[in-house]
Amino acid sequence: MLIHVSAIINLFILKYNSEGVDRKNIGRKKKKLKLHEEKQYIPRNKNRIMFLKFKKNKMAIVGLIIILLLIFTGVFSEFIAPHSYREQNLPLKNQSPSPNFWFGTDEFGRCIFSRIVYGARISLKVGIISTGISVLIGIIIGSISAYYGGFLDQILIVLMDVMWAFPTILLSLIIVAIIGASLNSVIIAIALSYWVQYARLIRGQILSLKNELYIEVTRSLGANDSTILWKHLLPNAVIPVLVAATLGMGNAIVLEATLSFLGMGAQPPTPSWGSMLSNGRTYLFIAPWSAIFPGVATIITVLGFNLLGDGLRDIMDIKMKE
Amino acid sequence: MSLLEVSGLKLRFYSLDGPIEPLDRVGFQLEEGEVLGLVGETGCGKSITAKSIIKLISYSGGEIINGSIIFDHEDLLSKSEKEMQKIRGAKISLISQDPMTSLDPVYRVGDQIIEAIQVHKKLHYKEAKKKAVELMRLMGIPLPKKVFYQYPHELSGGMKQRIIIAIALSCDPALVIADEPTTALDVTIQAQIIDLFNKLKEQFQSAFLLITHDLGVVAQMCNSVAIMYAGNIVEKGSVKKIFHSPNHPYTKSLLECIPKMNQKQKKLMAIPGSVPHPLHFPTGCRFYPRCQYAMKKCLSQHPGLIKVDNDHFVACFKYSNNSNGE
Repeated sequence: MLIHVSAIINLFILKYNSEGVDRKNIGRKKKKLKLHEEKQYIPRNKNRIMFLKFKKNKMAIVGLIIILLLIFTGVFSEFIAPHSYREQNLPLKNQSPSPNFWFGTDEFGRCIFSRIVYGARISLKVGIISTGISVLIGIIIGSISAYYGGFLDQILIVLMDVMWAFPTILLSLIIVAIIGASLNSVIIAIALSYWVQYARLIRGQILSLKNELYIEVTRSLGANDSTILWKHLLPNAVIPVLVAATLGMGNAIVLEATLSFLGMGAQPPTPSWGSMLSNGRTYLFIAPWSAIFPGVATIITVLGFNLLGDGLRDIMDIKMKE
Repeated sequence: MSLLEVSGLKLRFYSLDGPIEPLDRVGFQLEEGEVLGLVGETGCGKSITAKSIIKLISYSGGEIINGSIIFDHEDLLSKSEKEMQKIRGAKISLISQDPMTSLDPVYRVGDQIIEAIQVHKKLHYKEAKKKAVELMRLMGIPLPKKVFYQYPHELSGGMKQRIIIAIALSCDPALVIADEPTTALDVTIQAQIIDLFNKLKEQFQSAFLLITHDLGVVAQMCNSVAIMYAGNIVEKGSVKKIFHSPNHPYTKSLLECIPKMNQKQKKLMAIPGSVPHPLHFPTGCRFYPRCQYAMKKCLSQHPGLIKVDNDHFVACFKYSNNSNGE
């Protein structure tokens, strides 16, 4: 696992760093000449172009900023939220937005802004963990299916098709109903509902990659199946999956909100955006803010993930060269 | 006993149009430290011969249905996949045709050499790195410590080929199969790589099986040659004998196709017709439809290799004792 991470990090980050080093050295000719033997000249490469393309893609930048803000909010909820998310204040229930309660209060007099700030943490947690689990399941099943082929592939394909045939909400509702409504079961349900798309994606990638010459060369050096699969095929195949996972995180957050809205998700007083929407729905005509703001927060978050995902897809797509 | 003895090799692929048998009766020997050139047109079965030797052919959908491959007194065909993994790279290594796509794009080239070393030898990263840099220096790579940290896309074709040769030689294999190592390179780099091979074959004392369609390369590097045509070996022998007294009509025509610098030639010779598709190989001698000396016998019977001289064999009825020539 570590080696994949390092390979991917090598590919994406080290490049930019060394570019930065080169740029810094432009002004210092003497030093650069001295260092000529050690410092490597890195030509304009694919990744550099990707980076430039990303910088040009305004919408992707917007998406990235939204997500960074969300992560910041989620991590530092305690410092951002002006009130506690669970402290009830019944005399102040259903108050409209004011300088004290920016987004108003809900039916128990709790600060909606604070609840949304804490809710960001829940949404992020669900989005990241459930997508992480489903990507992991997808990668393992998809790559094994593609690499070994044959009968095993047939069985796994049928399994994937069966899973794929279920509507996502229905499938996750069934899973939550079986293991009981809580935030963790929502995470598991989302992971089990979404892994198929990643499995199919990685299967397609590996099917095309396994006939590459460098795989044959690696095999001719005496590498065994696991080395070839995990060390050589996977790092080459994983980028489209990362893009899909970014988009999938938005979906996972929506699905969590949906399940919570239906009462199958996080239980009160956990400030999930979906359950806040659900509660606010009852008071829609008295206190519309209690439903509007969690909804807007969900929309913006999902928009952020979608914009970033689209941007990533655009820059990773080699065929879309200018 | 030779280092490598291939005899009667027959391959089968299953296609939608029916089974294809691209190789038949392929056999040759390779002594220790010898350089054997395997020459033939595109599609005559050179590369699949190479893949069969290290039993990678099953990954391409092929099946060895006949023959034997004996390497270092061991029968490779009876080995399991696990045992073959220990032989590949350590005792027999393969240099592939296209250096451009032979390296994994996500790893630094140095790490790929180290991986090849660590598959077979238990060495620490630091020791392996030392060895890798040493190998790179041996391959004539300038600034090996710098190139070590570069990615394949940052290197030129010639450099990549040097890295691939370094990977192939990293475990001191007894046999190196070089599958058209110079085909994808331009002429100057070709010359450098051939010089490198000539240097390496003395240093490493490995046997080389050089697959090529360039007779010039063979003349420069090899001790002996086997000429292939449509999945058969039509003539084999030492370089001198093949070049000075070619016997098989195909070999003769091949040598006539090369432009000569000391003679004025108006038009180069061309062999009429084209290589038959493996689905429609002629019965009998496979060169029969294009041969100017074809006899009735050639239509129905396969000649098999006939000894014409000490270590010079040819598969042609012209040279069998019981026939009366043209």
